[in-house]
Amino acid sequence: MSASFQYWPFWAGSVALAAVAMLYYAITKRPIGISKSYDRVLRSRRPDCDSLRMEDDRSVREAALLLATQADFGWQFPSGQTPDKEVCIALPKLAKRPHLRWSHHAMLLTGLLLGGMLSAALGGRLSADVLPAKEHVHHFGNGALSWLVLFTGGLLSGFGARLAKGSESGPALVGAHRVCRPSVMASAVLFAAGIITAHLCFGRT
Amino acid sequence: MHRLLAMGVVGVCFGFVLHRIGLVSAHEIERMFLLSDLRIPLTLITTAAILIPFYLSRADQPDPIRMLITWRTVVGATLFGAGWVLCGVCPLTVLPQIGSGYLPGLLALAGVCVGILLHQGIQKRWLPGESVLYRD
Repeated sequence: MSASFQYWPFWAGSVALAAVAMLYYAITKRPIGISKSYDRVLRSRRPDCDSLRMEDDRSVREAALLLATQADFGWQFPSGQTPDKEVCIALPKLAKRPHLRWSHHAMLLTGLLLGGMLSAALGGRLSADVLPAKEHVHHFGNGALSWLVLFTGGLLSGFGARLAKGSESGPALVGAHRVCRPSVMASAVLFAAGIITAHLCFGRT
Repeated sequence: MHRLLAMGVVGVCFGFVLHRIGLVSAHEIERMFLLSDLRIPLTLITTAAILIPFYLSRADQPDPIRMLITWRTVVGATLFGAGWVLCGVCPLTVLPQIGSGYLPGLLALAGVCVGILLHQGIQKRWLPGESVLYRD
């Protein structure tokens, strides 16, 4: 996209982003998270089937209820420990969240694509750019290195997002707002890593 | 069916907003991380100011396992931040970027998909106990 594109001012973007996050929450009863949708779409097996079996296990249901109640009162699970696998599965069901299928996640990702297309079309900027942006070419050249950096950057961000339990839509747009410690930490670390990387790669050019 | 359509609408709105605030532009991301333009960080901070009371008012999010800070949080966020700078996009913004016509983004998208598949493989083989955290 051209640098001369007229972007929204910060206040308008903030209100719009918050509105989208609230809309997603209203529909799914979940905080928004896009890397999770990628993971679900790319996952061949159907993990949701397991969660159906917990209905019959009274002890699991009771343990999950206890954990959910404790969490509501601010209790945190001891550092370094995690609840039993079955209890973890039961928690989302206890929150009465609607079930999200593969198609829901796929539709969300498709919508993202179409949203960008719609915005570019309405802004008169819809065009097929085959070559990398001039800033990218300026830093990495016009050869194989440029394309390799694009792929590697995507790989790192995709892998890192899942490893850290979410892309910036998770920690930065949602998690930190829930005052969730790992999300605040992840936001701080990713921005620090980004600033250092940017200054190392682009700072002197 | 209604939820399926609603998810599509949310996706379109999200993609539209991301494009309009400049998060899909590699140039804007570079400026943000070089700290030469604070518009996008200001946007995210203001969004937080709006959303914090909203999420805190929701008591139906019992998710204590997400409160754990592990090595994955730090390593994952570091890789994510570095990758975001290198290709100018992240899993969230690459789709609206491609939608706007920036076709080299397809290569970044391929990288994102390979990265997520790689993580799935590693998680399944070496971190099976944590796989349950991703059920949704």
